[in-house]
Parts: sequence; structure tokens; C-alpha cells
Amino acid sequence: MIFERRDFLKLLGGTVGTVSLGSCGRFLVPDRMVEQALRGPGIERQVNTICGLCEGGCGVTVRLVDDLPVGLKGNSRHPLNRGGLCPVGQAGLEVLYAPNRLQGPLRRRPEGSFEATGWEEALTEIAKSLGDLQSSGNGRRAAFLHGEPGQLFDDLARRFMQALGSANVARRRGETVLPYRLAQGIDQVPGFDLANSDLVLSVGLDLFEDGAAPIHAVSAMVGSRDQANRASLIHIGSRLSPSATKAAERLAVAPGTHAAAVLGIAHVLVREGRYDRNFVAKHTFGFEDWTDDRGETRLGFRRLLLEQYYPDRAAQLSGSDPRAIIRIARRLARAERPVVICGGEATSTSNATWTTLAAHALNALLGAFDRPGGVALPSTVPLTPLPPFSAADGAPAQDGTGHSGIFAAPTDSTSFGIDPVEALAGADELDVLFLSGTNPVYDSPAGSDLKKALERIPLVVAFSSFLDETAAAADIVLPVSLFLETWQESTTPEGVAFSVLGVSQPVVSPLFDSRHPGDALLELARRAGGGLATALPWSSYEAYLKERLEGLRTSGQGSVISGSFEESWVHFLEERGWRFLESGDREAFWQGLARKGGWWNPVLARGDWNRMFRTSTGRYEFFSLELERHLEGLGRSAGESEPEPALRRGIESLGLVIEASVDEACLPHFEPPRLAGSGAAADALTLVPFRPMTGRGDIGVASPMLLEMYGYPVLSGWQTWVELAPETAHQLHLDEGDQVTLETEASPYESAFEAVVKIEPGAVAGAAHVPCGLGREGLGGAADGVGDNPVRILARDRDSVSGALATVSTRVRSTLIKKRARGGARPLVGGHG
Amino acid sequence: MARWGMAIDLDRCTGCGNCMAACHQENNLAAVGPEQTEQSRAFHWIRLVREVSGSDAHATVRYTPTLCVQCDDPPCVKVCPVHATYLSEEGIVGQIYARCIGCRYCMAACPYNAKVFNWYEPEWPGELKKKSNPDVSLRSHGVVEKCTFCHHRVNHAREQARAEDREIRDGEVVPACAESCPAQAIVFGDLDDPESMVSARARSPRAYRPHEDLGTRPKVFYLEEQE
Amino acid sequence: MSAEHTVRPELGPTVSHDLSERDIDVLLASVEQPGSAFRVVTTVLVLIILGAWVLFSRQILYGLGVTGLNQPVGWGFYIVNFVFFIGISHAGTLISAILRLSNAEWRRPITRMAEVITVVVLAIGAFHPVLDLGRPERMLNIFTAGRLQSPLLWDVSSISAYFMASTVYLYMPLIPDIALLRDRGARPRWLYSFMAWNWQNTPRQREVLERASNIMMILVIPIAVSVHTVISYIFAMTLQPGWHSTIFGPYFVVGAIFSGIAALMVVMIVLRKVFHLERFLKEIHFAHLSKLLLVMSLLWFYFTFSEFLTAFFGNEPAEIRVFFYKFTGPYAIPFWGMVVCNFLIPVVLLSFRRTRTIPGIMVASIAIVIGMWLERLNIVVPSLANPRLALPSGFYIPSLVEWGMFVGGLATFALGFVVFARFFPLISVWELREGQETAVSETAERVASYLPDRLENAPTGETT
Repeated sequence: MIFERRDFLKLLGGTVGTVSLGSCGRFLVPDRMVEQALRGPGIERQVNTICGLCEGGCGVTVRLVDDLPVGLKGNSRHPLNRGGLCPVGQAGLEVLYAPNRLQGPLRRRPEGSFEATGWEEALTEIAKSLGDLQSSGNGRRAAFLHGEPGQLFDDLARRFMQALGSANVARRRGETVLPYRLAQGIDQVPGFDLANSDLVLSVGLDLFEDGAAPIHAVSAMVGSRDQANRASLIHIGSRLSPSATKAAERLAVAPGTHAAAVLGIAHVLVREGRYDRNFVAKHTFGFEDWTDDRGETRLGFRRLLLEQYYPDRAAQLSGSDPRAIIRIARRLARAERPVVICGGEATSTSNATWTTLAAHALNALLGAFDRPGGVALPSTVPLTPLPPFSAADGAPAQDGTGHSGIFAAPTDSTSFGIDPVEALAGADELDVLFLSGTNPVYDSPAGSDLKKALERIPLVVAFSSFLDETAAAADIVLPVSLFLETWQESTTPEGVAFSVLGVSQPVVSPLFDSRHPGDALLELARRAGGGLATALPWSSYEAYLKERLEGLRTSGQGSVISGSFEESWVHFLEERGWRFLESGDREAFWQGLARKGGWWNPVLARGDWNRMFRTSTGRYEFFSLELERHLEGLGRSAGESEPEPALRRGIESLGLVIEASVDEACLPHFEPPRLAGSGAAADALTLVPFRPMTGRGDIGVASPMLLEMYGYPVLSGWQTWVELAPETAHQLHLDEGDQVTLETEASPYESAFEAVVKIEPGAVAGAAHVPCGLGREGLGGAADGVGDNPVRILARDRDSVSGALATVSTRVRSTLIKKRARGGARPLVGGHG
Repeated sequence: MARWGMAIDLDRCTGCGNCMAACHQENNLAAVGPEQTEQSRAFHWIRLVREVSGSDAHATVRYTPTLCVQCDDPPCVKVCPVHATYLSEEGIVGQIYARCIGCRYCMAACPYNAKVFNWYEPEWPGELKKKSNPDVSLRSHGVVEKCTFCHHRVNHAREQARAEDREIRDGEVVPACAESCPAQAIVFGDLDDPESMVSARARSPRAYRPHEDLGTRPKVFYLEEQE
Repeated sequence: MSAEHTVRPELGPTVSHDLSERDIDVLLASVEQPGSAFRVVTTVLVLIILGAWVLFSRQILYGLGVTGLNQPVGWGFYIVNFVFFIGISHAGTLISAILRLSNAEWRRPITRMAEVITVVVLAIGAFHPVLDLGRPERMLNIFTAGRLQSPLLWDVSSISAYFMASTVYLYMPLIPDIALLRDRGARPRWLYSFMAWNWQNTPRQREVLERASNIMMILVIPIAVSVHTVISYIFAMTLQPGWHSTIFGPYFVVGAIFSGIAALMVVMIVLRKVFHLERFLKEIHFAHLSKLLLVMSLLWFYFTFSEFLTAFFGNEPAEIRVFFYKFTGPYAIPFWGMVVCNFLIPVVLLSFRRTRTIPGIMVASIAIVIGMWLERLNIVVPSLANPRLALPSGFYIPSLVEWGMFVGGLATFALGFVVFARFFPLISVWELREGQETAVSETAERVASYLPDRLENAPTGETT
């Protein structure tokens, strides 16, 4: 019935509320701001800054009336978003004023609860611990994990830890770089020149919503182009996401089988001879069969494709349509400047590295490297190098650290690396841990492990704007200023083809007693003294930024964002080898940077193949020699001495099932994804967590607006839903709007979470797509307890090669808990009959 | 006198939802909360309406940003008993919140379901009210509200133009939804000016208006998706 | 029966039913001996109504959110009940006026009750749109800023005219009875002496009353027809599927009269039982009315059939969505319930003499009242729940407040009758008496005037 307890309380509240109105909430905006809003003269101004809510770093223009921010819009000059913005960015002000923001440092009491403390006390305490570590030479017992979007903060954090004598610094990033290292020899995700491409094939990535900079993708492919020149999108994925619906062509594949479909496409390109022969001949390795130095013939990519991945088999492996595979291949062949980008669900599986290798191999077949609309390496940002410093006594030197730190792969690991969260969760010799700009307890599959580990570490310092899941497990929580309140930077997001450095400036003074984590680190260094103070001499994070960014001016490369004719003229000349020193002095340059919102450099060093392919062969390696060495190494350490058996042994230790030839393991190939839980039960579903547009960043959902429009693509807010294909729903006797629990025995801690059924025609049968980002604690009244978090129940599985945690790893079963309440949830499709 | 209109290119729209968020922020809309959303009372002045056709794996989905189409012959205006909704000289269908008696007849009469109602007093958790756009009035409970084509921006541009003794230039007025659209799918301007961008788009062979057959003469044009 | 057989020489043998003092005692019993039952019933009803208002106070405090209304179903019980109650109000004045106009002699014991229904129900119905307002305190904007083009304003005019007319039309024939009560010393005296307007039953007064009644009964018919027509226009003037229909005007009027007669029958049967009026409201009255009811049921079905066949045959997407929403969708139960209540039950029960008994009529009438309420629900909600755009179908679950106000409305209706019966006779005493004094002879004369003229009386030369 409609009249519920809550209503009754409301009725009571009518009489009681008036009495207690004055004392509701602990949020207090400074009086001067209220005064300003009420009595200001109404003077309006616009300030450019950078959105700090996710890793994208879009430029925003803040509208201020009487110095109070009242609106955000995209900065039309900013090269990433060109005036566009996403819903999360729009919610910036709601996050700024969110009721539950931390108002001052917190310290954990011995019995467990938090008490308010001051910066002075908190920093003193931390500095003391650091000083102890420094003086005892136990710097390595400290660690730092962060997820801040800017490279400069990362540099500062690394320097801080190095000065302390620790190599334990890690930055959580979206995509793993390993496949690009194996194929191209580079230690970064390369850029994909979406702005000049005419056809983008997106493998697993919901390009317009997910990835590091979706708004950049939209603006580069559609927004900043006229109708005739806009880029088409082909989408390969298991979910009918908004991006997929907007794609010119869409290939639905079962979760984790993207590689098969991609290799099918490659097969058609090769068989029909419609690949870039010139590029393949000149710049690739391992396309044709080749002979190694022992004189043995090794499998080439071409033969593998032709033998294994004919469209019918590719379609069968991926549960897709062979005709569509052929159609897509021909479409790619016809396109002038196609490019292939891989991510999202395709790189969240146990076979992610090979899937990425397969997708990237398409780029090689299409000759997409170093051409407009292809794969590019953005130029290096010419930051002022950090001055060398002498490390503290007894601590490892700046570079040659005696040990490689807890975030490096353990020696007994079969994979190249280890997920930083997992590494932390397994580390047992830590005294101090810093966490900043990241919430792994909430969003990592290893979050529960980490939470346990945090209890063991004597001093956990979390920088956070909210008492979120991770901060709640810390010992000291230091409130962080939001992007509208502080100086900070953002650097080129993964996958963007030009280099950009966004400068975020404070548009309001901090509402609360909060600081930028960089400022706090500098202050800590000063207090701890010793090597730390020497290594980090800057008075503030702003001063640090100023000094580092001075390099942009003196290098003469790139330009301050202006979007003007002059800018394009400068770039035109720069491409032809001219260099311009920015006019004006240091201060004027800095002012300009802040005013315009940043600096960028779209100029690419063309023809620099040695920079593009830094593999041992200097070519794009279809056959990854590094991977071969790694696998052989694994075999050798297991006791095999001969190369071939060692390779075979290495493959076995990864738990792979390659039968044809061991060479296949070093080539892009389709490896069936490992899925844990619910055995082979016929009604088990593959759980595919995805990040919706509204779930970008960690703290966006502190905005009631975002929660309300959280599921806008499926017309539902304030709840976690699960998307099922009609046939799947039918098989499970589920209807739209039913409430279900998804259960698995694969997770070590929690086994079930709740969601509301959405029937999605076009989704792949047998998959359960669930949005991440809800089921929060600590973000405040609006977000807490809304929806549920699928990450909690994920099995701990990793990408076999890179070691990154996989999120598409779990099979679940659904149990109905409540049939759709009459009128509760609403059908998506209008009720025709 | 301009006749304001909008053209939304569905071929460009990527369904990112920014228009909804931008409008929400610009026009001081308040979130209604989970219980109200469950009761189908969440409201947006512009929203992405999702249309699924087909029920198998080949199903297609279409997102249409849907807002008040600002009819030249608005069914809502005719039925309002108190002149609380009206058609302005420049063709914008306005709502006088202070006069509206909340009978919701205009909502019942609108074939586009463009109007929304404040079932409760809008709530601003914490100090969220501080970020309100000062150009747009806050509504109270019991009144109907709707998209205004960001007419405060029109007014602002008009004042600016008058101060500079000129006409409003094409592209000078940009509603919030169009402003931050990363796909630049939304174009706003004067339909009476044949040179304006919006007129050009409205003349496109892909252009159509929603439910033109009803004779409401909408001023929001959609451009059909291409292959 | 205190019938007294006399022979009037000029008319031949006939029957006279003069009202005895005992008869008048019975008719005025409710006023003169209200008894404790009146107090109990009034208290109970007042408590129910107060309860409804307590619930409603939440709406005043918090706004319309306390109802089950939403987007797109922005209208619900309040509007349904508005249409329903106003429909019932057609029972009265219209029936009474038509019967008076057509000199139907059997009307005499019926008209008063019919007119009371009208006034009571009209007041309740007309108040419903106010309940439905988001900002009821701004209601007067309708007068200060009214827009004549809005069908809602037509409603305001039409309903207020009808309310005035039917109040006057109730009051005027009440004057002689009030005078009777005054003369019999009923309390409170000031009330009756004030309301009797110095009625002394002079020939001049009778003539004035008769002329005024004649004017009013002619005036009230078009007003009554306009009321429900205009209410239908609220819906029909929009472009919404299921509403935008040309036959809505007559369809609503027919439905209104239909539900009105049914409600009248229910009231008559109940009051007949409660106040022991069996001798005045005889089976013959019910038989006559039930035939009328049967005709209206068939007429209602004819309109309904035309309405839905057109929608179905045309197969226009928006229309057909609403059509199936009612036929097979979420509103199948209200829809088919409506058909059963409004057509199947009454037609079966009223067609056969065996079932056309008082209990049979009672069942049929109650079914019709329920059925007509369902019809209003079927008109208001499904059209709103199925927007033209590709939006999901809406839903509507009325809240406790709305149910409370519905029950409160019904209780107010009952209370209106109880209070009226406490102060005024439910059957027009003077009209019955007039019937006894003059009707028999008048009718005989009238009937005689229908008969072929006698040959010797025919004016010669004018016949062909």
C-alpha cells in the first residue's frame, strides 16, 4: 500500500520538522558565501579549469556569479572535449556541495570509530612515522597507491617515496599496457587518432561512454566534424550499450570471445589480400612463417589466421554471425583511414592480453600506424625535469633500488605483473600506506582482501573527499579539495593521439578544511625533514606545477589551448619543423595556461619508426618475442632447458589449452576465457560488469542528479539492474522489473548481490550485464545504500599474461526474490497489447 | 522578431545523456529521490527516450532527446484555465509558475508528454541550493514546469544585442542542452531567418517533426539517422 | 391502504387516494421524529468524513505527491470521481424535469429525491477538481485570469449554472412542504418560517410557483445536458488517443443519465425501506424507472460499441494501444467489469419480469453505479497511461488519501441525504396531495382528449 511507515513519519515530521530545522545536517557553507549569494551585485565571470571527476580531464568553463560557481559547461577550446561534457562533469557542482564531504581530517580512535582532528596533529603524526622510517632506513616499509589523473602528481608521489627509500609506488590505470609492450615495445597505451579516422572498430569498448575519454571520442568522431566527414563506428561487444546502438554496424559476441571475431575479420582481410602489404612487409615481424636461429620453422600469423580463423569458425567461437564478420572486414578494407581500438569488456577477461593483441594486429594489417586516423604515439610532454636529489642515508638510490618493490611481479609469478591492489593485499611488511584518488576497497575485485590487509598496516593514510569505503578502512583520513577548489593537472588520457596537459585552477576557495594531496605531501616532506625535505623543496603544489610546466614554455613545442586560427597556424608550421618560443615571461605563460585551461601538442613525429616500434626487432611483432622469452623463462625455471619444451612448459604453467602449436601462444589467438563458479549449470550466466556513462569517476554519484539518471539508457535510476537477453529471461522465467539475486560460489567473501531485471533485446544470450558504481557507503545520504555493487562477488581471476585482475570472470545464477511490483518497475517497451 | 526553433540530428547523437544533465543543472531541477523515481515521478525537461524495435538479437534501439517541441499551435496553451501557460511572441511556450494552479490539464493535453509536475516541494539536500542558476526561478510544489528553450539565455542575448544596437546573431543563443553536447547534435536558432543554421537543418530531407500529423506545428526538428 | 372509493358523477367511477393524516405523519416522520438513529448515523458519517479530511491534510501539507498520481498518469481518482459524481447528478433534475414536462403522473413521489441527489452530488462532484489542484489556494485565478478557451472554464460556468438551477429547482417545490412543516410546528421554527417564504397556499402563490417551476424545468434540461457534454469536452478537446472523439458529448450525457437513474433507484429502494415508504414508492414506480434504465443500458452499450469499434477498426497506433490496454492489458478487469456491470447484468435482470423485482432492480442499479464508475476510470487512466511517444506505459495505483477521499465523498453523499431527510420531507407532500386532488381528473381529461372526438361534438365544416 502507499501509506507506509515513511509516510507516517513524514506526517509527524510536519510538526516536528519545524522545530529541528535549524540543526539539520552537519554541512556548513561559510557565511561569507551565503552573504555573497544573497547580496552580491550579480557580476558574472567565466573561468576555465579541468574537470577532475574522472581520468578523462575534459576542459570545463565555470560560470561564476559574484564569485560563486553556478554552472559548468565544456570548454569549447579544449582539444579533448571541444565544448562537450558528460553528465558526470555536469554534476561537478552537486559533488562540490555534496552534504557528506569531509570537512576536516579524521583520525581513528583505538576502539575503531573516527574522531575529528586537525591538519596539524594529523600531519605531525604521519611525519613522525615517516621520520622514523627514514632514520631507521626502513623506507621500503612504506607504500603509495594512487589513481590521480595527472602524471605530475605521479612524479611527485614517486619522488616522495624514493626519497623515503621505497619503490612501492603504483598508479591505478584503466587499461594494461602489456599487450602494447609485447607488440610494439612501448610502455604506454598508444593513441588512436579518432579525429582523423573515417572508420573506428571498437572491440569490447563502449567507445562513447567508457574508456579514458569518451567525450573526446564523441567530439573527435562526430562533434567536431561536419556531417559528411564524420567517422563511422563498428562495435563488437556483448551488450547493447548506447555506443553499440549508435554504431553503423554491431557484432554481438559472447563475453570474452572478442578475439575470435577479430581474428575472423583478420582472416577475411588476409585471404582477400586486402591488408596493407607494404606496411606488413616493411614494419612487421611474424606475419609469414619464419625460421628461428635454431633453424626451425615457426608459425606465422598469416598461416594461423588462414588455418584457424575462417569466418564460420570465428563466428562459432564467438557466437556471432559469419556474414557480419565478412561484412565488417570488407568495410574495414574499403575505409581509407580505419583504426581499431580495444578495451572495456574485451580487456576485462583472463584472455585480455591476447584479445588486445588480436585487435592491435588488425591495426597492423590495416597499416594504421603512423598515419592520420591511425595509431599514434603522442609526443612527450616537455616538462621541466625534476632536479636530482641525494637519497636519505641507507636508502636505495634514485634508480637502482635494491629491490623492485611490492608492486612488481613476484619472482614466482607466471604473469608479467601483478595488480597493485592484489599486491597491497598480499604485502605483509608495510608500516605506512598512502592512498590517494582511488577507492580499491570498493571497486577492485580484490577489495575485500585489501580491506583485511589495511587492518594489518599500522598507519594507513587516505586522501579522500568523502569517508568512502577505502577511507573508512584507513587510520587517518585527510580531506581532499575537489577540482574546483585547488590547483591540479591532468595529463593525456590513455588512447588519445595528441599530448595534452590540462591545468585546473581553483575557482572557489576550499569550502572546508581540505587540501590537495600534493600540498599535503610537500608539507609532510618538510616536517619529516631529512632526504624528504631536500627532495621535495616546493612550497606548494602550485609552485611545483609552475616549475614543472615551465618546461612547456621553454621547449617551444605545442601551445596554450586557444582553439584559434593562430594556434592551427603554429601547429602547421611546427609540423614542418619550426619551433616557437612562447612569447612573454614565465609568469605570463603560467597565467595564460591557467586562463585557457591548459596546453596541448597535436604535432606528431611522423616517420619515427624507432619510436613507434621499440621491440627487439624494431618492428610490429605479430609474433611476440618478448612473450616467447617470458614463456620460455617460465619453463626454464620449472626445470626445462631446451627452448621448445620450455615454451610448452611455460604455456602449461599459464594453464592454457593450446594444442596446435606452441607458437600460437606468442601470436594473437583466441583463448577461451576462464569463468569461475556455478560449474556448467545450464542456467548459469556470465556476469559482465560494465561502467555506465553516469558511473564515471568514483565520487560522481554523490550527486543526486546522477543517481536519478544513473540508468538513463534503460530508463531507471536509483537502482542496480541486470540486463538479460529476452531468450535468457524467458528461459529463467524472469520478467522485466523482477528483483533477483545473482549468486556465485566463486567469490571468496560474498556470494550474492541484488538487481532488477531489464530485458534487452540485442544483448547476447547467457550474459548478465550489470552496471558498476552503485551500492556505495560513505558518499552521503543520496548515494548510500542505493543499488548494489557487483564487484563484491567477483571471482579472483587474472589476465593470464599481464596479471591484471579480470572482472569478466564469474558465472552466476539468478534467483528471483520479488516479482515485479504492480507498476513498480516499468516495461521498457511500450505495452502494445 | 525571431521564431526560435531547434534541430536535433539523431545521426550525430550518441546517447551520452549530457543534454539531460546540462538541462538539469541549468534550469535548477531537483532530483526527486528513489521512492519518487520508483513512482514514475522523476522529471527532466529533456530526456533520452529509448525506442526498441525488434525483440531478437537484431533489435535496434533508438535514443531520441525529447523535450517540449514548442508548438506553434500548442494544445497545452489552449486548455490552461488561468493563462499560466502561453505562447510568447517568439514562439516559446512559457509557464508562469506563480499563476499555475496545478490542475495538470496542460499535461493531459500535451501529446508529447513534455510537461512535468512538482508532486512535492523540490528538495535540495545539503547546500545544493547554493549552486542554483540565478537566472532561473526555483519552482515550488504543485506547479507544472517545462522546457523553456532556455529563454533566459534568449533574453540575455537580446539585451546584449540591444545594447550594441544590432540584431541577435545566429548561434548567439545556445540552450544548455546544445551548449555542452559533445556530438554537436543540437542546433538552435531563428526559424524565420532562412540563413540560420537551424533553418538549413530544418530544410534537410532527413528532417521531420514529431507528430506533425497532429497539426501542432512543432518547432523542434529531428534529423533522421542515416545508415 | 386507506383508499377511499367514491363516485364522481361527471367522470364515472374512479379511484381516489386522498392523503390521510397518517400518511402525512409517515411522510414527515423523518423530520418530526428523527430519533436516535439519526444521531448515530450522522455521527458515523461525520467521523468518516473527518477521517477522510485527516488523510487529506497530508496532501495539503506536502502536495499532490501523497496521491498515486505520476507522470504520465497525472489524473486519477479525483478526476474520475468528479466525472462520476457529476454524472450521477443528472439523475435528478433532468429526470424530474423531463417527467414533469411530459406530465408523467407517476413522477410525483420520485422527483424530490431525484432533485436532492442532484444538489448533493453536484456539490461533491464540483469540489473534486479542487482536491485535484496542486495549488488549491490559487483557485480564484480562474476568475481573475480565466481563459475562456479552456474547457475547464466551460465546466466551471456550466456546473455553477447547473448547481444554481438545480438548487432553485429543488427549493421551489419544497416551499409548500416547508410551509406545511411550519404550520405543524416543526423545529427549528425559525428555519421553516424563514424558508417557507410566507407561503399561504393562495391561488396567486400557487400560480407563481407553477409558472416558476415550468420555467425552471425547461431551463434546467439544456443546462444539465450542457454539464456533462462540457465535462466530456475536457477530454474530447485534447488530442489524446481514446479521448479525442466526437461522440463523447452524447456518450457522457447518456452515461450520466444512466448512472443517475441507477443511483436514484438505489436511493429510492434504500429510503423506501428505511422510512417505510412502500405505500408511496410502489412497484409500479420501479417498474417504470427500470424500463427507462434498460433503455439507457442499451443506449450506453450502443455508444460504447460505436466508440470502440471505431478505434479498433481504424487501427491507428496510438488509439489501438489504448484499446488493447483496456481490452487485454492492465485495464482488462476494469474494462470487462464495466461491460458486465453496465450491460450484461442490467439487461439480463431488467428484461425479464421474474427478475425485475425490487431486489433484482437493486442489484442491477448497484451494478450500474459501479460500472459507470469503472467507465470513468477506463476513460481517464488508460489514455494518460499510453502516451503517443515511445514512452513506457504508465501505471496508477491510487493512494490511501485518494481512497479516503472517495469514501469521504460517498459518506458526504449519504450525509447529505440524512440531513435533508432530517429537515425536509423526502417525498413531495403537496404534489402527492395535488395529485390526489386534481391529477386523476386531469389525466382523465387528457386521456379523453386523446380519444377520437365524438361525432356530435365535432365542429361541422372544419372536418374534411
